[in-house]
Amino acid sequence: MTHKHVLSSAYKLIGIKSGVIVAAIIALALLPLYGSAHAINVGILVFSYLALGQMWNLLAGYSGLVSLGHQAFIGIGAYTLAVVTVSYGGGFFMSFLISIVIAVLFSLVISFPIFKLSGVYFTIGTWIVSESVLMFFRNWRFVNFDAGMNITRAFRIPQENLYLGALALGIVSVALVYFILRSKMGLSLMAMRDNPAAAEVRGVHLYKTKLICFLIASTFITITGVLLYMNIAFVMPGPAFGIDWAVSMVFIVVIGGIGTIEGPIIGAAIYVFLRQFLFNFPGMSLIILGSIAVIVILVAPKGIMGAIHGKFGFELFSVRRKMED
Amino acid sequence: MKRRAILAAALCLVFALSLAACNGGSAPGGTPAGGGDAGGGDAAWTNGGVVPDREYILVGWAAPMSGPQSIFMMPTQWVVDMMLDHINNNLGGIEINGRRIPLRVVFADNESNPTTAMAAAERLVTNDRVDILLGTWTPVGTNTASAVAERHQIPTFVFGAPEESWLDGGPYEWAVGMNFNYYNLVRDLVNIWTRVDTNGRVGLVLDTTVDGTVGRDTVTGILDELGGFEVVDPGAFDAATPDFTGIISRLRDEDVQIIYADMNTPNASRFWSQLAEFDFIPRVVTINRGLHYAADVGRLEPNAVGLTYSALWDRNYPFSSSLLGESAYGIAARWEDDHGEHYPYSLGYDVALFDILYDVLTRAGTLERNAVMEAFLTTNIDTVFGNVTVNENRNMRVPALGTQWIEGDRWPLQKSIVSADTFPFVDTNLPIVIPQTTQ
Amino acid sequence: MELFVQSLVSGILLGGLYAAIGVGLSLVFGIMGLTNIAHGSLLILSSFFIMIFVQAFGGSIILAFAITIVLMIAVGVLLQGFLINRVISKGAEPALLVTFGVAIIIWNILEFFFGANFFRLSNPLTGINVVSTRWMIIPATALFNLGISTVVILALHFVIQKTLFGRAIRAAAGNVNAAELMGINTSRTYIYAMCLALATSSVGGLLVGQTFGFFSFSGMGYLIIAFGVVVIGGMGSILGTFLGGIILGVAQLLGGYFFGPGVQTLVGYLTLLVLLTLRPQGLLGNMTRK
Repeated sequence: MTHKHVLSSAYKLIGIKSGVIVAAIIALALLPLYGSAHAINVGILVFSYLALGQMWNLLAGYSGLVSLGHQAFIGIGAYTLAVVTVSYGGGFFMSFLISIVIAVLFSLVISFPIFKLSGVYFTIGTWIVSESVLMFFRNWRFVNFDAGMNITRAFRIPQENLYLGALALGIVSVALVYFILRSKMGLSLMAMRDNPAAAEVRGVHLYKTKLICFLIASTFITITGVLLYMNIAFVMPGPAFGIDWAVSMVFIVVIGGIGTIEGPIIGAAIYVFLRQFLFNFPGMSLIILGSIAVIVILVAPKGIMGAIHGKFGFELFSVRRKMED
Repeated sequence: MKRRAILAAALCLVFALSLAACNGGSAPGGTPAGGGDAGGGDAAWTNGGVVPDREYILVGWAAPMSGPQSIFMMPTQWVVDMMLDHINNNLGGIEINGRRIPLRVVFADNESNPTTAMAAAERLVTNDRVDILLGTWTPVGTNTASAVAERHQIPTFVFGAPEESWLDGGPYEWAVGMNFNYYNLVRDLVNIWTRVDTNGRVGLVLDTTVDGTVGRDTVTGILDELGGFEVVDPGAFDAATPDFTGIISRLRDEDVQIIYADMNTPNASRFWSQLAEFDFIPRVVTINRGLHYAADVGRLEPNAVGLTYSALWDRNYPFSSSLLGESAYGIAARWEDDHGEHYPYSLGYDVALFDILYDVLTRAGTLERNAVMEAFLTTNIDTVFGNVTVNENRNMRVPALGTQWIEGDRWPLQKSIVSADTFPFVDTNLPIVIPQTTQ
Repeated sequence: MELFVQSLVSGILLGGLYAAIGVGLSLVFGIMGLTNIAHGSLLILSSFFIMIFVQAFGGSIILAFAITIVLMIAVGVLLQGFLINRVISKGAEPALLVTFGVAIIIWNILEFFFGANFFRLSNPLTGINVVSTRWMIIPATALFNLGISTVVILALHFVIQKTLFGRAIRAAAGNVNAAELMGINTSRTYIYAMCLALATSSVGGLLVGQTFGFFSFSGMGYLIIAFGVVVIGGMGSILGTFLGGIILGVAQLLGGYFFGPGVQTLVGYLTLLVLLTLRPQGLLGNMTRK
């Protein structure tokens, strides 16, 4: 096989791949035209959770920041939405903008103490931060204490609009991670993950790179939180800042395959479809969910995508610049 | 090369198709509901709504079947089995469009969590395409179901939350409630306090949850109005608090003789033990919310005899279920015989639910959504709560009466209604027991 | 002033209980570097075991506690041998998910059997005070908690620092490869460590059951306390855990004294964060892990 031939077939493959991806996106965007209300409803959940999972993947899978505290940002998004629309009569667009500002500021503030911690200390530190925010909101009269707020303006949002919003978030989250990894920062991240000491010697700014990823993930999770609560429409501090969100992010990423872009896509789909299916087993659903998590990890410790990649060498979104085959 | 491309295509398409495949959905648990008969493009959530072509009435119930609130569901399965058997077998179903068809109930677990509660209610409406949606217990159940009601314009019945906090999400067009009112609740608690000889100093031990928050505003208003009371408020505490040292010291130093607490069961247990440690048992100790279930209250140390709270239903209500024709006392006694423990108050709510559902559906005579809604709003039916009608807030207000735990004859502890000012149908000449530290 | 002293004393006593909640996690955390999310649920599991056996064997809490310890050791063998040992070498995230899964399974199985009812281990010390004056109260329960917790932690510290068994455990914690070369079977050592952790957790289960009472799903609430106590004390330092417990307890109660009862818990967490910022390795943490 000549050099040229290999190249051209590689281009062809890239062409096929992007064609398929574009076709799938179009098919998904048109879902409101042919899908039922239930399909749209499930779609909202899948793509919202995809965005959450992909961002947690960026943190844990690529930046080595295993966080159990990013539910804080979901709660912040939820309460921004509630306060802006209920207390001040603002709109949804305004909620998104303000939530971004708050998310960036808050993640900058907490990054000072949090980035001093490493490894498991970071994991627990983020959780303690999140619990502190939860306690703060529970005791804050402005947000009606622990009694919660009804996001009444969200009652009448058409489901298709939410679906398209969630789809956009999901796609952007995948694209964002893809382009971050293809950029120079992506190289730094990989170097940092594989050997932090050597990377730093070679001039990778550990702190800055990590901080940028942290900011991006936190902001994006906050935006997703706003969208999720436009659907849920009733926010209480406990559930909004609950560890359940972190559990679902860990589930999606680890089951799908950590450190792969495809992993969270598979993981989010599995998680949401599984939760829907488990509504058929009221009272038993969490036992089954927990068992599935344990069994999958025992069978495929690198997640589903890790197992597929190990067997077939297949990657949908290759972040490596391929030299030659 | 080719194989990889096919894999890529497959991955993408499986994803798109699986979403589209949700059209039909799977059959819900419990009842063989025909979820699979839906064709594509049937957007049930659009205006007006399409009545599914079914041979039965389907009621979808988003309920806390697991998690902390599942305690409310203790009697539910028992009541549902009994009522469906009665309606479908003894009465031959409910007459809809001139034909008697059976009533079925499909459950979805809300896991005591609003996030799941919303997904559960959405699923019942869009996948199971139920005719009536139910959302129950605390704002988690009622407010999420009401939001779904407005979004999908489906007749929805909610119960088991304070009317005030449910209305916070209103005004509703498609939701009707059967909720107690915090003003009534606190009014009867205050009435207990006036019946005991004290110095009138009331210590508030309220947490920041919905009950504590609403309770604080309500009680200060009522006490101001009445006069003769003095409120000592150490400030709201957090439900995750492990210790009441500061609060109890403050109440003791201010010589409080009435305590009004509103807290969950573990906090109630801890608080009551710490009161004993401080050797500070005021003449009236009212702990609302955490003391509903006899088995839980029986585990308190020291003995909980004399503690007062607000019961949301009691078997001594002198009323009967119009559907069963059986008295409140009789139903509760039957439940106790079947289960070997003190009846839970949620029994009354579950029984009343079916009284109301049967009545509403019979009067509507159709499953058309506007007609069902209209029938809900004109409800006027005798239940185990007495006669219920819908008020201007779309709520069928049900009573909450001042109640005390006393030594029982059948169980170690039993309830005794000691104040029914807001609901004068109940005899309340029973003596009030002063709580004791010595056991 | 009286209330300040009372808050301080109550905080120290409460801290003893917190240390008992955290000490099992400290072992697992320090030796394996495992973020054991199931710790809280396992602790509550032991509370349920004690309750069941008290009922089954005529009310003797000591007998029930002894059986529970044996049972929890068996749980430890199963948990570590069949689940965690298989994933622990694969990085932090799979182990995180497995322990999450175990936690969810435990609390839901408990809920399946015991519902959402509130339980409490009968406590003969309720209402008895060791010191009972107008300006200070020391309840017997709280003092008992602190005493038991101190004894357990000192005993554990002795085992880890002074015995051959402890040395093997510490070797496995320090350097897995070197320990393997020296003929230490790290998998087996991990199993021992988990068993030891769960046995000490049952002490926490006993004290929590007698002091606070429990639900099937209370575990997650105690987990965050345990983690806080362990990281503040320093990973792998048993005495640090004790110190961490006291600090958290005192911070909460003094927070309540200075800022009102609502922020009691919040002040506790903020204190943890501030201390962590100042000492990222924990107060007594000297053991580092990769």
